[in-house]
Parts: sequence; C-alpha cells; structure tokens
Amino acid sequence: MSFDQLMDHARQIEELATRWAVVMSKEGLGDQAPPAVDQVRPDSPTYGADYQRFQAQFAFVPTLFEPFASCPDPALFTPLIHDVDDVLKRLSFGAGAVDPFTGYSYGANSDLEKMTGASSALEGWTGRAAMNFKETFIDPFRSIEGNQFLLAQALKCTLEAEQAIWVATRRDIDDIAHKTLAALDHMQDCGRNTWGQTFTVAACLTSLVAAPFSGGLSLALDLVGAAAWVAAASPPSSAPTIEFSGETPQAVIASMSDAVGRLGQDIRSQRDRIDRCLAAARLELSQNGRQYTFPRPELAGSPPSTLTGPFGLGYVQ
Amino acid sequence: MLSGGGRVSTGTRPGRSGTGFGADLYKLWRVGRDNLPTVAAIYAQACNDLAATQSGLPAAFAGSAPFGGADTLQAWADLRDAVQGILADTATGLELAGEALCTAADAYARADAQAAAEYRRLVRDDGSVPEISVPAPVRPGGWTPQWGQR
Repeated sequence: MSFDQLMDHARQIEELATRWAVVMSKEGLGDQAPPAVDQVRPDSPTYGADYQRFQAQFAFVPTLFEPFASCPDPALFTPLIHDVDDVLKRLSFGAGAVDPFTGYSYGANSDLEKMTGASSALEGWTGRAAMNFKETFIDPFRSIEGNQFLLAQALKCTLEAEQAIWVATRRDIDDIAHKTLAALDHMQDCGRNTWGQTFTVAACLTSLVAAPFSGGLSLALDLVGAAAWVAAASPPSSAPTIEFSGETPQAVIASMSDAVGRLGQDIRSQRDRIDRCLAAARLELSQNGRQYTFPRPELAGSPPSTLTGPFGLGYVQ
Repeated sequence: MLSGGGRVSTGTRPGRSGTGFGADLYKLWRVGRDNLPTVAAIYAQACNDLAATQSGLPAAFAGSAPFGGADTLQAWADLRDAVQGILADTATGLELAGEALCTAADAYARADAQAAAEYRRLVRDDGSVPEISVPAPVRPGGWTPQWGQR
C-alpha cells in the first residue's frame, strides 16, 4: 500500500464497509442465509437497493481522506532546505557551527577570516569613520555573524520540522487506511476485531534551546526540528499507539474516523510548535536586533574629501 | 577619539608619511579591494540563496492549510525576509566600505608624492588581487534597506 493510492483505498473502505453493512443486515432474518460479501454490489438486482441505502452511511469516508491525499509533498521541502543549508555553509566559521539536531559540523568558510584580517590594516587609523567601522563591524563581527548563522539555522530546522510532519502524516494516514481495510476484511473472523494505530506525527519533532552570542539581552532561541528517526524511517517505540476495535462496519468506520481526527489534531499541534518557534525568532530579532545586524558603516558613501578628514579615516599612527 | 586637534586633512597629518605611509595606504587599499568585497560576496550569495527559496515555497506548503499552523508559510517567509534583508544590508555595507577605503587610499596618495610612489609600487607588484565581483543581493519585497541599494 502506498500513499499515492490513498484515495483508492478510501473508496475501497467505503465500498467494503457498505457491503458488510448489507451482509450484516441480512443476518438472522428467517431461514435465508445472508449473502457473501462479494455478492453485494451496487448493480445487484437483489441487493442494489440495500447497497445504495447503506452507502449513504459511509459516503463521507473519501471526503475524510481528501485533505490528507493532497497534503504537502515532503520532497518539495528538500530543495528549500538545501538552499538554506548553502547559507549555513557560507556563513560558517567552523568551530561551533554545528547543526543542533543532527550534530553535523559545518566546515569553516575560510574567506570569512578576511574580515579578521581587515582589523590590522585599520588598526592605526584614528578618524571617526575608521573607528566606527572597527567598533561596529570588525570587532563584533564574529558574534553578530554567529547570531545571523543561528537565525539561518532556525529557518532550516523549521523547514525540516515541517517536512518531518508530512513524512509522518503520509505514513500515519496510509497506516490508518491499511488497518481499516484489514479490520473490514476480518469482520467475521473469530475473536475481537482490534488493531493498534501508531501516531508517528506526535513523535516527529524535537525541541532544543540555542543561545545567541549576546550582551546579555537576548533571549534563548527555542528551536524545533525533525526527530532523528524521521530520516531513518523507523518510528520510535515512544510514538503513541492507541488500540481501536470494531465488530460492525459502522464501529470500524467510527474507529477509523477517530483515528483520522486524532491524526489531524497531532498535525495541528506540531505545526503550532513550528509557528511558536518562528514567532519567537521574529520577536527576538525585533527586540534585540543589534545582536543580529551591523549598523550602517560611516565609511559607506562618504565623498573623498570627507574620507581623508577627521570624520573619515583621519591619519594613521 | 580623534587626536590631532582636528587638523587632519589630505596629506598633512601628524601621523605617518612618506614610504611607510605608502605601505599603510597599500594595506588600506588591499582591505578595500579584497578583504571586504570577499566577505560582501559571501553575504550577497547567502542572501540570494535565501531569495531562491521563494520560487519553491508556495508549492512546498500547498495543501497544508487544512492542518492548522496559524500560517506557517507566512511566518517562515517573514523570518526568511528579515534574515535575507539583514544579509543584503550587510553585503552592501561591506562593499561600500571597501570602495571607500580604496577611494581614500587614492586620495591620500594624491597629497603625498613619496607615499604615492610606494603605494603604487606595492599595488603594481601585487598582481594577486583581482577585482572581486559582488553579486547584487536580492532584497525581499517591501524591505527597506538600511542604506541605499547598489
């Protein structure tokens, strides 16, 4: 069974539930044995009317699955994640540039050291713009640049979190459809008709706190990212599993509806975590923007006459 | 912070002069020609990497609306725009500062013949500093730059 066939399975569930409902409606009626389930068809002269009547009870099933069938394709997040990953590679100073969720260490972009190298050349210049550039660009470069790296990490990990939700969603909804069909297939087997439904969406994200370099004003950034198991495609045992049961097609479909509803709640709950992470990063940026941005350098756009005067580079000692 | 009693003007300063000053100007030029544009280019490319996400963003989030998240796409795009704008402004600031240093080095040299000779000799002998091409950083729509766009 694959996710691409989800709507086919939804229609199969509707059809199978309808057939079983007709079969069970004929049980215990006088001497006549109920029909076999494959005898019940919409075009059957004997059971067609019953089929139409019971089908109305289950007509909502495909509608229930439709939003899931058109939910985001996780693969479409991959190029976006690569784009943001390129940003991180460009802005990496090496030491400390680690993906907090995977532990991946970004190699240093050695060209960034050219900013440090600029320091000595400007060291002796005493004009105001020269001093301004040293104090606001060169000296705090590593800490502000590191905080910008952190913002890019927030962008990447939230994309990965969103991707993880849809990977897990597709797995879970496919599993619900599969187990519902199995439950309907086993409608008349001996013993209780029960099945366990695992909700991996509920376990697909993980959180951590990242601390920006700061002068003490910044808040820690709460980051949310994909749990490690999502990439490995092996859900953890900690993912919640709920046992469902149903001895009639109506009960099976009710259990299925509960499971679909639970899955929808889990998705919304996890996406709320991503929204909170993004909102917190925006708040941090608006409240402590100086920790993340360089001010306009006074050197920028100055005319030559000003550049060589006391408000420019001044003289060199 | 400024010593020298504000007397500083092109070529007549209480600081260094002559050949040593020419070496100082060369260092200034080198930072303006190489160091700052190199870092500016990193920022511009990083900015444009973020800008590139825009084309695939709506398709990636298509179909997510029924599943809550107040508006995760918009929230992500808002933070992306903020970071992209910061990177663009940083790139522009570094590039403009680099141009200013080169301009200043030339201006100082015009007022000190001995310094100018040494400065030009060092620049001429240093053939290893190609002009760094800084890509134009793509600013997000509606972003107000801290300073003029290039």
